[in-house]
Amino acid sequence: VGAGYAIFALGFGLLFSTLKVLNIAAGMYAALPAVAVWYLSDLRHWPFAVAIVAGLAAGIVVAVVVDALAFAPLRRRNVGMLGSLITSIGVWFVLGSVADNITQFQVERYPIGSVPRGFLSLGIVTIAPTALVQLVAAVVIAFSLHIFVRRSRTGSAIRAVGYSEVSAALSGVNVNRIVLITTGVSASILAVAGILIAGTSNNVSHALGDSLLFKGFAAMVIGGMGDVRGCLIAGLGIGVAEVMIAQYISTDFRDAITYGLLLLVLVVRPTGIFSERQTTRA
Amino acid sequence: MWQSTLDFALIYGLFGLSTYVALSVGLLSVASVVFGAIGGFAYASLSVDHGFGLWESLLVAAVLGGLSAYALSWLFIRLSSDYFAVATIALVLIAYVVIINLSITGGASGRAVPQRGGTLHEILVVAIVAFVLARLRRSRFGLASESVREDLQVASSVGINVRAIQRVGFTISGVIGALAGVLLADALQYINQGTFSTDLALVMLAAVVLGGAFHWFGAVVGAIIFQYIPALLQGSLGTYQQAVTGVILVIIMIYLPKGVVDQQRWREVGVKLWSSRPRAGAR
Repeated sequence: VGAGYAIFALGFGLLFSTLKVLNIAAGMYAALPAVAVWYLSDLRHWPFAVAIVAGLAAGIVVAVVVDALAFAPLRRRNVGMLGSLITSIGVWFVLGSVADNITQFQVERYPIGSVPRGFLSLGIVTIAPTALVQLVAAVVIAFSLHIFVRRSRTGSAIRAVGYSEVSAALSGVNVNRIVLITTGVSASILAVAGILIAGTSNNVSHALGDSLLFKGFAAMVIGGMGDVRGCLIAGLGIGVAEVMIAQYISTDFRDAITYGLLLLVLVVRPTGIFSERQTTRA
Repeated sequence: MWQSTLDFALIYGLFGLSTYVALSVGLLSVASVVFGAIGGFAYASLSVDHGFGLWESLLVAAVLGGLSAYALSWLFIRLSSDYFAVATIALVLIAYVVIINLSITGGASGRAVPQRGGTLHEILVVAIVAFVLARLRRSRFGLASESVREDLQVASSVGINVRAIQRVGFTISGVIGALAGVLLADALQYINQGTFSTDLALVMLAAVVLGGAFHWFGAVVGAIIFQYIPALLQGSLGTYQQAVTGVILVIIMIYLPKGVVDQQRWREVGVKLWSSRPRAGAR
């Protein structure tokens, strides 16, 4: 589970640190592709692999369209953080309602046989295949995102826009193009998180997005905004901690402990555990 | 049905006012529903287990809400504004889990509450709160909070104790939130962990900003709009009603980024909604 949170935190962190929008709708960017995959494979009887590709594409298209319709006008008018937060709440309503109508307000699951069940034994550890896929996906995505953001030209443009749109534009960065790329990349990462979590938890509904949003959010804050390694470690940590707490302490207070940890990190070290020291002056 | 829509519009107006007070000292907070939960469950326990009436419960709840907000303010106010918002969201999520697991809140099965109040009580409480806020706006505290909201550095450089102002604002927000919680419990006659959820928290924040976050009247207007639009749409749109609410919200944010109640804009088009002292300085 932790790997899913970590993937979500990666996409969400990229979106947040570049566009400076606390995007409540990001949970839906994960839930909608999951719902789309269910719709195509279960109701339309598409092959599962094709449905996954289509779901990913749908997620990217939705995010780009939402950005163009709702967030771009706000950026032009420069309304700041609060305005875009409220707009994202509006978007969250819309996308959640669409997801609800596709699933007819039910909690669905992927067709039997499409997701491998049972357990694999790898030497001494036993692991569910879905969990293994998640873990591998999380590591691969984190690694490639790290390389992309830190090493490539586009990556440094993304970081420049995140630092200051105006100075990025002045030094010749096409801000609109970068915003588009960032939205697309983070939407595809969020979509992967949504589809994987849906496969593991057998829970396809819009509620999937909400729980991912808050857990991924916690992972992002604990790990440090925009820090790829931090998000990965924190996401995995939260997942492991949740399972351990449920096993050894109590299931009832599992979520409270997760969010309590979030508050603790906020109070003690607001920039996240792994963040670099930043020298920004007011 | 219109009667109960009015009841809830008034109660959500109170939640809106609670959020507005926090915003007016520059704190982006969704914690109003947490104080609402404190008030609501306090009322459930006081009225059922100890035979308290509505007014006494309102008083006790206000004190409880104020105290817990004051305590929390010491922990969180030193956070920067984005992180403060995150912390309040985390509070709402923790409250959800705590409510499920405490016996005084009835656990997952919730609590039934006898109905003692009605529309009249709600109007009265909203009026009192609005009166106090309108008076506060013109006090030293009101002026100080406005400068804190506009620019922290400037405010502290002219000798305003920024954190003290924010602590007071957050405490008032807690008091109003708890009052709203009592009335909500009274109107619903049944509350559980879902009553005070993140959904409600986010909707309240959206309602305040939609109504206009720069005047207490905006918070009430926003809550009323948010209550009546779904009621109007219910018949014609069925399951897509929520999507339409979302679209309306996005459109208002794009074209009226300061909300429906925006004094400057109304004055520009020549409508004088209420008499108000002209403000010093441009915004």
